[in-house]
Amino acid sequence: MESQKKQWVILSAVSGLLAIGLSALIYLQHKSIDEQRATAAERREDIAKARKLIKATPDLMKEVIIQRETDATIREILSDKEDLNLNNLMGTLREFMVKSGCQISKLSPVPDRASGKKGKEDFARVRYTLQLEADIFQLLAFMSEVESHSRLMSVADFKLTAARRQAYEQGTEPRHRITLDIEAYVYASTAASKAVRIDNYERKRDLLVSEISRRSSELRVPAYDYRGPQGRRDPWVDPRVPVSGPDAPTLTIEEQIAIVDELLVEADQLSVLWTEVEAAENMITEIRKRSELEKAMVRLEEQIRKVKAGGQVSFVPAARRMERQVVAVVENLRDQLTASDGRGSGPTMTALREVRDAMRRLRDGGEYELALDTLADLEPRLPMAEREPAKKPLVDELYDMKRVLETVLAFEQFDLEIQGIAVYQDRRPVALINGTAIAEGELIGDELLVQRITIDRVEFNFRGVRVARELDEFMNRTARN
Amino acid sequence: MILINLLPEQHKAKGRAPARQLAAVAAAVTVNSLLFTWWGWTAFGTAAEVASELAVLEDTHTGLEVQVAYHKDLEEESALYGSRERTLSEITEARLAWTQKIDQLVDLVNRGGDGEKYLVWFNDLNVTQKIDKRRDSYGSLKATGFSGSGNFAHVANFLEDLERDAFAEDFFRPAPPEGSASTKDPLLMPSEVWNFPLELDIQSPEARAKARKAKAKAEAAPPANVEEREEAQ
Repeated sequence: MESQKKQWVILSAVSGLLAIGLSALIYLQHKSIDEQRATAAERREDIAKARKLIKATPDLMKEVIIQRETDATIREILSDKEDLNLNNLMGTLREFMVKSGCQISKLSPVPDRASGKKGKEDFARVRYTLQLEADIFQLLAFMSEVESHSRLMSVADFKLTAARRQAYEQGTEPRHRITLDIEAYVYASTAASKAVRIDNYERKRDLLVSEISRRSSELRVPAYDYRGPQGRRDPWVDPRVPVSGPDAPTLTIEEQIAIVDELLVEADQLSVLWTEVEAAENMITEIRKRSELEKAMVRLEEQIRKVKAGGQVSFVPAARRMERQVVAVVENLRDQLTASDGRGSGPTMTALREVRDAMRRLRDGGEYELALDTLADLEPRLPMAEREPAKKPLVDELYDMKRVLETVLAFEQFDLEIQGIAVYQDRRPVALINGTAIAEGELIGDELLVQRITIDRVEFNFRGVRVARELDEFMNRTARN
Repeated sequence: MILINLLPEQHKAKGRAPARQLAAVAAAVTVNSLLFTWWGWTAFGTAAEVASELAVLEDTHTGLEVQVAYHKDLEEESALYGSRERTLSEITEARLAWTQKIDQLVDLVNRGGDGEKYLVWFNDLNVTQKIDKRRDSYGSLKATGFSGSGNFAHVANFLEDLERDAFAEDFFRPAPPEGSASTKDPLLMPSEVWNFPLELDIQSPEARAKARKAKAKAEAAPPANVEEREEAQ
């Protein structure tokens, strides 16, 4: 009985233990399954994320290709260390200086505290201080060169002290003193070492050309199109003009500036024509262009003389601009033209005709000195033209006109006071000149022959030229005297 | 005392296990068998299935990892370039084109006629772009101005034009007109001169960018009514 009981106890214990063991196994198994399921869920999630990410890879790849290509534009836009080397920068600024007409007197680097910091500064910032002298339009031209330079440069701070009125009244240029801070950024190449390999890069890039081009153009810094003075006055030049004296104005400042502008446009056209003469591919074109140039030059020279003679430009900055940008340019072109004639045949037929017509116009308008000035520009080249039979009659005509004009001017030097004219029916008419009765055919001095006396005029023969004066003129003169 | 049953085997009383014990044994066997079966089903069915699924997922994941790493490398490269582009954009957006600004100021001064509306000139010009975010200060433009007229209204005319001009777009409104009459110079025309300060504070780059966008939007928008449309045409 006892042993049976013992057997049962053992059996029960074994059975219980087995059940517990199996339960534990089942529990552990389930736990493991749950863990695996959780891992699987995680993996599924990871895979979903990865798939989502990978789905975006082609777009990202395109973006990287575009960025790599546009980085070349950034590299172009930003300076490299070599560009900002003081000597190279000075060279660049000197170019700007020549183009704008500024005078740089000092260039020095400015230590920039911000550039040492990391963070926003993907590029190192470099700052230079410039000291220069310029009028406002030269400064604008200079700043425009700086701001529109292919390498990104900015004008940071600047200070301008206007030129003193006394300085430009004494005939010097109105140049303001300017201190200008220029900022530039240096490209630091770090991307190259991390470039990810992209299969068929060139082909993919070629397919993205238009997008690359669009993005590149967006990156480029928009430049302001500065169009020069355009006849405007410099607001840093005192525009007041003297009330009396030789500089007293006859025209408003704007009118004076407009006159100079018109002359400037024509001077520019002359320069263009001269370039075309020099670039002419054949002799016929050269002759044609040269003829156009000479025609335009004579016309402009005539205008300049009229403006100067009329004292139309008295506003100092405008007058100086005219001298510098018009008169000097025309004189320079005239010299070049004369020099180039050394290998040719002097002024063209057109130029000779233009000068002749201009002289006639001025002569008929009573502007004898201006007429002679018109010829003076051309005169040194006339002997060359004279050698050509076709041009000789025109040259002779010009010389003849010159002689007549000089004679008329010399005649005007005579102090002739005509007090009256007496015309008799059967006797020689007599004129009372400087208190002396002079009849036709008599001489006044050594050269002035009274050729004819009519009721309202006296005609003289002076150095072979017949010179007439109306009686009214005598009377007026008498009245004035 | 030892009792010995000497009866022949066929006469001996048959010993039977008690029913309760039998039931217990059967229950134990059943329970254990069931547990064993469950374990077997779990271990060789569910667990194997899950393990196999996990293995497939792991394989898939491993296969994708290379591509993910490639994507991340591309992202890293893109972020680097993107940062450069953003910095460049920030620099260019914050940049004021001073050629344009001064050119606009020259234009404005020249629009005053020959002193009919105003005849203004300056003695100096001081531009600073020092940023002090705490004081909300982004620099300023200062100049000493002169008006060639005895009439102070000319200074007001100039400042009024200035406020309306494109030149003033990147600045805060100027202070109300103020100035003082200089001594007369009878040798010059005009002989009477007023001097006045021109002081303009620069707006923040963000405000300037916002204003530029708003202006571009307004310019791009079609005119609201027929009259405006006709005017635009």
